[in-house]
Amino acid sequence: MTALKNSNKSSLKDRRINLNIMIRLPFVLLSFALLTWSNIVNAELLSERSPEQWLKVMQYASVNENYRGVFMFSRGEMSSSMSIVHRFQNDEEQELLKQLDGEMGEIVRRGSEVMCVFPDNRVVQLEKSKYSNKVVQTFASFMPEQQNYQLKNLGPCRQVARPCVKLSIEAEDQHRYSYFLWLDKQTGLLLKSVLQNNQGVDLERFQYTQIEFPTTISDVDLVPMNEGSLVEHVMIPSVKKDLQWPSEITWQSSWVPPGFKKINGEYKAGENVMVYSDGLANYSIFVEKIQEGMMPEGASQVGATVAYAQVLKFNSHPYSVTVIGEVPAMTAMLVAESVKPLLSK
Amino acid sequence: MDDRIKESISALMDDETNELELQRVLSHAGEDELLETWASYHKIRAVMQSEHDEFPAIDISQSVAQIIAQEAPLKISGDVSESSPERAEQVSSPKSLSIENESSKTTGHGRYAASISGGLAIAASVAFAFMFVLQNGVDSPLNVNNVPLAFTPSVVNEPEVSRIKYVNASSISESRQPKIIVEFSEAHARRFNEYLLRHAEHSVVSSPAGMMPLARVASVNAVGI
Repeated sequence: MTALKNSNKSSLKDRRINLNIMIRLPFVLLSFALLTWSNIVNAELLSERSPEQWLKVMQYASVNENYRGVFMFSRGEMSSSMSIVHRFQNDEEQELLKQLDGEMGEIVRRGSEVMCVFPDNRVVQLEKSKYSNKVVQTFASFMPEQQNYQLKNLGPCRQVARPCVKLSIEAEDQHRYSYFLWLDKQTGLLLKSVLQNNQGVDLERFQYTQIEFPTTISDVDLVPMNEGSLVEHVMIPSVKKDLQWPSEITWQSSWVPPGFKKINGEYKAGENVMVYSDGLANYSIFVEKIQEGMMPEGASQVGATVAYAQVLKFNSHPYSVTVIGEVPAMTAMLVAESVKPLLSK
Repeated sequence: MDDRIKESISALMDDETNELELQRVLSHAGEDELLETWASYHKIRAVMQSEHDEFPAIDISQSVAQIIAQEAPLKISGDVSESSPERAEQVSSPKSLSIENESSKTTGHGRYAASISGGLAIAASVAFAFMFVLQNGVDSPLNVNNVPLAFTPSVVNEPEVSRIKYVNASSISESRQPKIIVEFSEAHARRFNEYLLRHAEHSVVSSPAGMMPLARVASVNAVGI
């Protein structure tokens, strides 16, 4: 029997096979898992990742790494430095952002719950909306397929004393901005980014000036300074609907810029918040009833973020549409203008 | 088929092949004789281990041959493991996994791998995979963004709203050009921040850069909400 080379060896070999199978089985299962995984992240074993792979690693790192650092964030002519502590533990992200310049403001995040703590001890929180968690779920089912950006790996570089990789992500049309990203070579974390409009003007810059990746981060580090003395808890209400209207209007955005996709589920009756993403940029649409103290109509622009507000009419019913996101003002306007009730069939 | 290949097959089963042997086996992967040898070695091993008494009665060579006829040769291992899961350990040694990795991904293998990893926590992280979507629309140039951008929370006496006109937006809707407001009144800024916070809440979970949406909130909240 050629396979077993000779009979003396066979009993020994026999035992080894048995043992091998026992030992190997868990490993085999893991290998299979890794194999699937490999298309997503494990390509990191290769020193040369494609820009797409780098982006996936960046996405993964921003959630799953523990990190602590200080960064500069500038938009337009304004810039400020902030500190960040990020922890991923028990399947939940926690984050504390502190404004380091001027008056101290803090932003605390637990999962998708976001809270702002202001110097006057006010805590501003969003009314727990029904949308927040849905976004995560639907997002996960998207498959990457980029045609609206051109991705390039511009090679190795150095940021915050760490080796990194520079990527350029160039918008292929007028409905989005272009990005330069510097990713940490070891973890994939975004260390610097520049967001440009199609004229090559920098709209937003972000850059770590200091960063570390501790293995553990204690709870204390994630507690906002002002939390002990909370006096006022302000809720930002979710956007108001017009009760004069038939309550079950299904709002839809009849024009969506190419490459953007709704990420908070299908259009639904009664839903007046819509969130869209093209994988890098997001925008949200809010449909509200007309009320006091609304945003002035037009595009309010801060750095790369634009909020375009407009009052529209359907038959005799006025309604207000606000589109906010990191998209050009023209795109936001076109989106806002396209928002209307989906007529019942 | 010479004895060297048989030796290599035997070694492959025991996860003892080197790269050269592996290639040698692979180069004969489509041949019936190799498949017969492969099957019979497994039978031999099964008999010797007395673990699958029913096995000698099952002839998988034909189905293997069929699969080979239909699909790429390297598909074998994935499908064999799928069609006879009790034999999975034979084809799933780390070496043969790497073979599959090198071959282009096949559906049978993909199904199998997915069903395994589906149960593992590691797959959950894949959920954060990122998207770029769909059609590539080319619209007429708009040149919307040539406006110098500055954000200054406005001082009390400044005009509430200053609007900057611009000129060169073309087509799509020739008369439609967004009014850009870059100086905000306090009330306006507060309102803006509210929207920004709501927007951040939505995008923080989907943004590839994680905290970026929050940094945007933090950097304008000087005005407060």
